[in-house]
Amino acid sequence: MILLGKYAGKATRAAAFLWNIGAAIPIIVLILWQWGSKSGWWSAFLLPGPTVVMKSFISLLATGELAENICASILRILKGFSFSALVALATAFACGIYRPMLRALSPTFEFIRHIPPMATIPMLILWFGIGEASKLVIIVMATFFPIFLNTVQGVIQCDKRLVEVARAFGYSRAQELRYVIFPSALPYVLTGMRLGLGYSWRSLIAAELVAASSGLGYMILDAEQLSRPDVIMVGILTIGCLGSLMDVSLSCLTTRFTSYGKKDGVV
Amino acid sequence: MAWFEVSKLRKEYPLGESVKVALRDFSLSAERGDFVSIIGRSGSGKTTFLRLVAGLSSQTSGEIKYSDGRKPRIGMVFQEPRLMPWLTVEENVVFPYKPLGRKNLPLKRARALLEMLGILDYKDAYPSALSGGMAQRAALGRALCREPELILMDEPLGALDYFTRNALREEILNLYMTEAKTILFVTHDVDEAVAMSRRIVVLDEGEIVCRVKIDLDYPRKRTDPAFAAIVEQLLVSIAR
Ligand SMILES: Nc1ncnc2c1ncn2[C@@H]1O[C@H](COP(=O)(O)OP(=O)(O)OP(=O)(O)O)[C@@H](O)[C@H]1O
Ligand SMILES: [Mg+2]
Repeated sequence: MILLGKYAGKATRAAAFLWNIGAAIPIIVLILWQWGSKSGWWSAFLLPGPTVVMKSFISLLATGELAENICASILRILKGFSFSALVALATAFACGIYRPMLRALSPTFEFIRHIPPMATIPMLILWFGIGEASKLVIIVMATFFPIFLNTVQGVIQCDKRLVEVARAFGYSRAQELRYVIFPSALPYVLTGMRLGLGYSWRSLIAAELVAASSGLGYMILDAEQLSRPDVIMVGILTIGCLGSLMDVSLSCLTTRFTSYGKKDGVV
Repeated sequence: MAWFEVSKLRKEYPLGESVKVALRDFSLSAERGDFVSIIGRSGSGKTTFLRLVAGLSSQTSGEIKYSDGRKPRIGMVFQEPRLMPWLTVEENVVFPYKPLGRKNLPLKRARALLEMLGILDYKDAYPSALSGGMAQRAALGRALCREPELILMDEPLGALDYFTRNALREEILNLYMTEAKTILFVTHDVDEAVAMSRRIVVLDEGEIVCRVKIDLDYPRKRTDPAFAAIVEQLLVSIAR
C-alpha cells in the first residue's frame, strides 16, 4: 500500500507537471501574440494585437452586438440539437431493439452520413433561402448520425442477460426498455450527444458564414466585408470558448452518469 | 392437482442441421412450501428447466400450470450474479420493485436482507466493488426482495468458497423455514441437495432418471446414516 502510494505520488507529480505545461500554452501564445504585434513582426491588419481585439470585444459587448449574435447561434443550436436528438434517439432505440429495421434503414443512412452538411448549403439556400430552416437542417444533419450511431451501439451492447433478469422479475417490455436497456445505453447516448454537439456547433458557424443574417458566423463574414480583422478575431475566440464550454458541460454530465464501476477499490 | 404442475415438458434447441433435445418428457409437481432440488451433470438441462418456468424461453411442447391459474411472482437467482452495474447494491436488491416507482421502494426490507446476507456495509457500493461471493449474495437478496411466491435458484452457491457456501446454505434454509417459500433449487452438489430439499429429481440428458423424497428433519446431519443412504442412492443414479 505504501509502495503503491509512492508510485501513485510520482505519477501524479508527472501528471501535474504536464498539466502545468499544457495550461501554460495559451498564456505563452498570448504573450508572443502581444509581443509580436508590439514589435511589428507582422502588419496590424493581418493580425491585430490582443489589446486591440480586447477593445473591440468590449465595444461589441457594449453595443450588444456580440450578445445578439451569440444568442442567435445558441438558439439555433438548442432548437436543432434537441429536435435532432429526439429523432435520433427514437430511431436508434427502435433500430437497436428491432434489428430488421436497422438493416432496412442502413443503406440510406450510410449514404446520407457521408455527405458533409456544408456540401448541401447551395441546395438549402435554393430551397429555404437564408432563413432559419436552412441552418436547422444543417444542425440536424451534423447531429443526427453521431447520436444515432452511438445510441444504436449502446442498445446493441446491452447485456441480454440483464434484460433476462428484468423479464424473470415480471417486467413488461416497456419497463425493460426504461430500466435496463436505457441505463445500459446511457453512456453511449451521452457520448453521441457530446460528439453531435461539437459537430453541430462547427457546421452551424460554417453555415452562418454563407447563409445567415445573424449569428457568430455572420458576424465574422460581416467583419470581413468591413475589413475589421479585430472583430473576426473576437468572433473566432468566442466560438472556441463557447464550443469548449458546451463540451465541458456535457462531459460533466457524462461523468456524473457513467462513473459507476470506474471508481477503484472497495466502497 | 398440485399448486405447480409441469407435464411432459420438452425443449429442443436447434444445433446446426439437427436439434439438441435439452429436456424430454419432464413432469414434476410441487405444492406451496415445497423445496425441490434438481440435480444432474453439467449439460443435463437444469438451467433449461428453470428458464422455461421463469418464462425466459418457451417449451417445444408440454405444459407448465398453476392450480390457481395465474403465474406467481417469481424470484430468480441466476448462475451468475447478473447485477445491474449502474445501480448500487441496495438499488439492485430493490430492482424487482423498480417499476412501481421511486416512492414505493421497500428500502427497509432491502436493508434487512442485506444485513442478513452480511453485505449491509456495501449497500451504496456499485457491483464492480464486490467480490464474486458478495455479488452472488446481493443477487440472492434481489430474488428474495419482492416476496416471491416461487423462488428459482440456479446453482446460487456454485461460485462460492466452502465457508460462504455453508453460511448461505443455512440462510436459505432459515428463510425457507420462516417464510415457507416454494423453492426450485438447481445444484450439482448432491450433499447440498440432500441437506436442503424435501424432494430431489435427478436429470440425465434431459430426462428425469430418479426421484427421491426426503423426510429427515432439519437441520440434517451428514453423519446421519439415513442422510448417507440417500446420497449413496443419488450418486448411483447419476453414475448410471
Ligand atoms: N441457447 C441454446 N442453444 C443451443 N443449445 C443449448 C442452448 N442452451 C442450452 N443448450 C444445450 O442444452 C443442454 C442443457 O443445457 P443447460 O444449460 O440446461 O444445462 P445445465 O444442466 O444447466 O448445465 P450446467 O450444470 O453446466 O449449468 C446442453 O447440452 C446445452 O448445450
Ligand atoms: Mg446451468
